[in-house]
Amino acid sequence: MGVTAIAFKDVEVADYVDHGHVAPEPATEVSRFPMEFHGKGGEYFKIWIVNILLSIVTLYIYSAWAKVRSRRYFYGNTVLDNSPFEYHATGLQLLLGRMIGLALFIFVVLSDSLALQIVGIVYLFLVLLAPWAIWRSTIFNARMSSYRNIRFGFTGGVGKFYWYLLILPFLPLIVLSAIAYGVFALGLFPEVARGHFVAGAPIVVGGLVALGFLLMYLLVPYVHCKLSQYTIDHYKYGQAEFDAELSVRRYYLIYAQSGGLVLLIFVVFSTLGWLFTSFGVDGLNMASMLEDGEPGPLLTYLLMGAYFVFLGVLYLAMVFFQSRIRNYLYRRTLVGSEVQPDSTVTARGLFWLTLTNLLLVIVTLGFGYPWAAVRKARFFAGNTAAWSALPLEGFVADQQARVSAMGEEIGDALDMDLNIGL
Amino acid sequence: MIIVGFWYAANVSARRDAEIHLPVEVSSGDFTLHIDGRFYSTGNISDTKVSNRIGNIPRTLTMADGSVFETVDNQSMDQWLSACRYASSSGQWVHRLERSWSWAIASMLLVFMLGLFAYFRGLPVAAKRIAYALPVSAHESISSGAMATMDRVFFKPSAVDQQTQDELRSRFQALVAGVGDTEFTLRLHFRDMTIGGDQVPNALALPGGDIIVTDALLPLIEDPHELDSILLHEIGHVIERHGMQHVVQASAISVVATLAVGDLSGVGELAAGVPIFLMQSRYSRSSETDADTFAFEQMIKAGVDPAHFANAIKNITGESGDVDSPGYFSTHPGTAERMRRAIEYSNSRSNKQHNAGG
Repeated sequence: MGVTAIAFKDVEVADYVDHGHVAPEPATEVSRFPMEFHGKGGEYFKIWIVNILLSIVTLYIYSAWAKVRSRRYFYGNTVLDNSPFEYHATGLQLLLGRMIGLALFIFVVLSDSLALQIVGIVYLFLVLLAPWAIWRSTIFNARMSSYRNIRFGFTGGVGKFYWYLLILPFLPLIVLSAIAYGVFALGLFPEVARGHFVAGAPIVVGGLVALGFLLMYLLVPYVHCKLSQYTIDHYKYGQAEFDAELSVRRYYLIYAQSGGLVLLIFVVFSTLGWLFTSFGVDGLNMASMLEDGEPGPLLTYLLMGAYFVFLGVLYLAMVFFQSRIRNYLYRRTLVGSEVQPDSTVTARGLFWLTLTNLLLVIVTLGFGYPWAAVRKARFFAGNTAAWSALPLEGFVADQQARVSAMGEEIGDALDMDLNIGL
Repeated sequence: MIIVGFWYAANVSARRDAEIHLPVEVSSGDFTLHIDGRFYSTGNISDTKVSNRIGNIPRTLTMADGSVFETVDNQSMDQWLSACRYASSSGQWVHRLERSWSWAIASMLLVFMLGLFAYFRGLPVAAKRIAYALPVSAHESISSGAMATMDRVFFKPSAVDQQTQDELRSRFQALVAGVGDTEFTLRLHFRDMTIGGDQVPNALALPGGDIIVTDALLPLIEDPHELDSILLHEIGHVIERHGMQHVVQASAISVVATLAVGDLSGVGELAAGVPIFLMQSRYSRSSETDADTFAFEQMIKAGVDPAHFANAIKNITGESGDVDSPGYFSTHPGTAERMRRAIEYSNSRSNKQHNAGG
């Protein structure tokens, strides 16, 4: 029996990695190492607020060091099997990249609001830069993280990031549009070229483009799955490689479930809206809610209520999606073919967490942020664990390599951090 | 003194129980490292790298060979470090600030006050400085193409006859001349604006100097001075460079908001959107008030009663002055407030005249 045989509570066993090729070791007892988070809201508040003040009085320069301290606080309080994680970057390493990131960000905001002619070029430049920045930040963050004095690493190439982020998602649209263009302009319909009207031609062209868009959307789960697969497979812990076995089918299922929820709420609300406007309900018809053509208080409250319910369901779909993807990714990954991460995030738990955190931050005018961040870290750590038959002792370090901090910070300032649920 | 912790080997994730034993004379920095209860090596703190303290996360002591001693006993580590001649206290001052609640509360109050100051004083002044420092071409660039876009989206050609247009334009140019020298080229445009089948009475100014009056506004004017007061208000927006000030303010607010709530995934956008809007609408109200003041002063200079502005607003909004919109959500000051200020200027003007006459 390998790790596959783990049955933890009501988690589907099939989610876990199946060692088809590894000879089962019947006598092995597998231990579960739960992750813990030891940070405290009050403690982090003091660190956070002092660092904000220092960042302000140093005109943002200190913020690089502030960020390092904040990261170190969260890494150092994340504990697996009594050993903490460590973050090693220095403020100086982050400083240059951070300044470039800020300058880029201000430039984007300004050129956006000034509606300068160059704004299109700026966005194009950013889009072309994005995969590179994501790639750099992935490498940098992996290299700067360690556990038990062994660094993590990332060996993926930038080419695949461009392929999965910029090229593959739009490939069907590009190819089919090119075909449509060929049909239309290059006279692949000889009758059209000779000046005859062919009723089918616009339909074919429009159909091809529509098909392109449809395929683009249908391709999203596939691209997401492959990108996650590629990213995880190129992470390293010391010399140990990460190995994920992700099924595209599972991604389509998760996308369909959360997409279905969004679709359902759309249908329900459209139907309600239609019933409401066409028939009205006793005492709730449109005319009585409009006072002199203006919406009365009842209608306003009703619309606000509906808006919040709608937002709530969208949010629910989002947390459902996040939790399912995270759980699946973790459970289908092996580190060095002996350690298996586990994730037990539930949609309900994540929904409650984000909702209460949002309220906490709003009612405290932002000063409750540290407590929200600590709660979030505690929630995710509490839902993370590692299964291993052996003590976590046999991992060997890789030779160290230097990386620049620039990609990391450009990625951060524009909030393009790669989100594959890791 | 003994500090208890773990020892991690240099190149493998092995972990052992470890202790650092300090001699009685701790200031020398010497120590012996014991692993699994047995003596392992001797060393001096000056040959190691000690991590700075943050909160209560475990401290690490990286040895010259790359192995690491780690302990949660931050207190003993701090005592040792402060007693040592070798002082690695360079990073300690931050922790001293970070661990104290008094500093935290003081920082919070300071951040809060700095925020209020920046919002009420700093940003408006900075925006004004920047707006006045930029050349006219920069102001024109904000609205370059805006006229064409609005013509396509909102406006239809005006139905006002050419003769009326010409008359009003020459009146407008007289107003501009009365304002005095300006680098801006001010132009008056007539357009029809129809939304949902209703003609909308409106007057607006683009930062580049284009001022647009909609067809539906003209029939509501009872006295030509009323139109003058509205046009002066719009000229005020252009000359006092409000458009660029808004751009600078909006950019600054969204940069700060993004930095502040950047990484609470999903929460950020939801939490930031409404406050950003509320914060910007205050700036918008204050530039409306400034433009009103500009109009009143110009009117007094030209010997026209500012009360005309109150009448104009009354005629356009159809409000008598007692209906008021909730201030915080509004981009314009309440109608009643604007009319009150117009009357106030009007009274102070007649008082002055009266005094001068008497």
